[in-house]
Amino acid sequence: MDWTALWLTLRVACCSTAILFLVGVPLAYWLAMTHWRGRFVIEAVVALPLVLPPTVLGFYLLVALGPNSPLGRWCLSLTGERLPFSFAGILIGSVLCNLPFAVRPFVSGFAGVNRRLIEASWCLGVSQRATFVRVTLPLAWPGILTGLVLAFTHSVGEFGVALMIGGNIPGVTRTLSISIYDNVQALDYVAASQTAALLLVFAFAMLCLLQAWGRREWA
Amino acid sequence: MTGEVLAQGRDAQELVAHFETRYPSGVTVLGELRMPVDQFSITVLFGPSGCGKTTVLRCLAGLHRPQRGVIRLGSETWFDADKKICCSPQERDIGFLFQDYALFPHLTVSQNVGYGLNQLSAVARQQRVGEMLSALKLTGLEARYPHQISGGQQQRAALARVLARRPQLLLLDEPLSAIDESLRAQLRTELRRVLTEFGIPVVLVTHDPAEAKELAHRVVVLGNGRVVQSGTIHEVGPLIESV
Repeated sequence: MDWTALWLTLRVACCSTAILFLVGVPLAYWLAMTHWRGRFVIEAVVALPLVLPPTVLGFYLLVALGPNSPLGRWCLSLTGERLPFSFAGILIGSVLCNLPFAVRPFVSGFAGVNRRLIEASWCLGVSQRATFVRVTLPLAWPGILTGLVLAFTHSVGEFGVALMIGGNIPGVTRTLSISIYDNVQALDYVAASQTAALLLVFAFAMLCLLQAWGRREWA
Repeated sequence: MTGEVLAQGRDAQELVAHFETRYPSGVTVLGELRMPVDQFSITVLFGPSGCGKTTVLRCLAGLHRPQRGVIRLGSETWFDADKKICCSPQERDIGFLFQDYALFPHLTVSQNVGYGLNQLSAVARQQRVGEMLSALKLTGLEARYPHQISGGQQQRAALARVLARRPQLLLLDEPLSAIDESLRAQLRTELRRVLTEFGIPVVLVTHDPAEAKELAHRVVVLGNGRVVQSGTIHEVGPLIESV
């Protein structure tokens, strides 16, 4: 078992899920509540990683974050480090790749909240922000939890984008999925099967937890 | 409604509303209402389904913004299209009882009743919640969730929640429509008792003539999005029967 790869994978998945929660919740709330006619464009952009081959997303990320791109130059001047083939690079890739896995369940969660309950809260003198925290968020929680678990689980198993943007540098960008690929290339099927079994059990356990936690206790 | 009438309403602690709202479908609703708010009274907005009763109530609450007109409560201007004033529901100090009660499903009865009392200290809030549960005969149901109590109890819990804040004005949207026909007569009497006890002026929407007759001090009859007639229940009684 490649413990370094396991640790790196968990770091990427945790950071990616946290960023998706912070970015995805406001985006999903806006998508669920807005009447703007052009919202389908934003929804299509969010859903794009679902249908795009990971290598295509990875390729464009590699180009966009490379030292020859404006974004890459800006990051280089700011941090002194290149984004491709670094932890930050695969983290950005993971966030973008998992955006639909988080945001779409978030949107479903928010859209399922009865509008009357939000209005009832306003009529009881509670501000919009407090209403969001006290009513909307708890009622949308099953959807948010689903999004977080799916994003985390998918992030742990992410391969294509991570390989394109991060390569295969031990301790820096070699995640568990890339480690399996490496083991198979080296015909080390024992190590590959150990890691694959770990990912299988992990994914199954997460989905079981999701089913158990996602139930509304008041329903 | 003239500017003179609006000015009188401002001085005389009255709710004065005169507004127009249009839906994209072309349907227009005209709201015209005037009632005293310094004493207890129940003004019933009566009319068939789809005539715009709930829209009028939502405009009064600040949940729907009219295109034109004015809404004032005493010296407070809640809405003035010309002056671009539109107070949010939080700024209007109203209690709104929704048709489906809109109890928060993730909160217990006790938490629902105390939901809007954040301005009170924890002790005062607990005391107020206890008073409301007792007044609305909900004692013993504090820890239950809304889905664990009956329709009548849900109605009382929702009423306790809006009354707990002691708002200036109560807006009740078909408060008995979700109750079984067999229980309605009993709950009408109960509702009247509770509203009289708290003494907060009420605007109540209904399409049930029996509800209008038993509860109303004054009736405003709506039809096709405009006021058809208004007056005491004796004055508009025959019209109500014919709607």
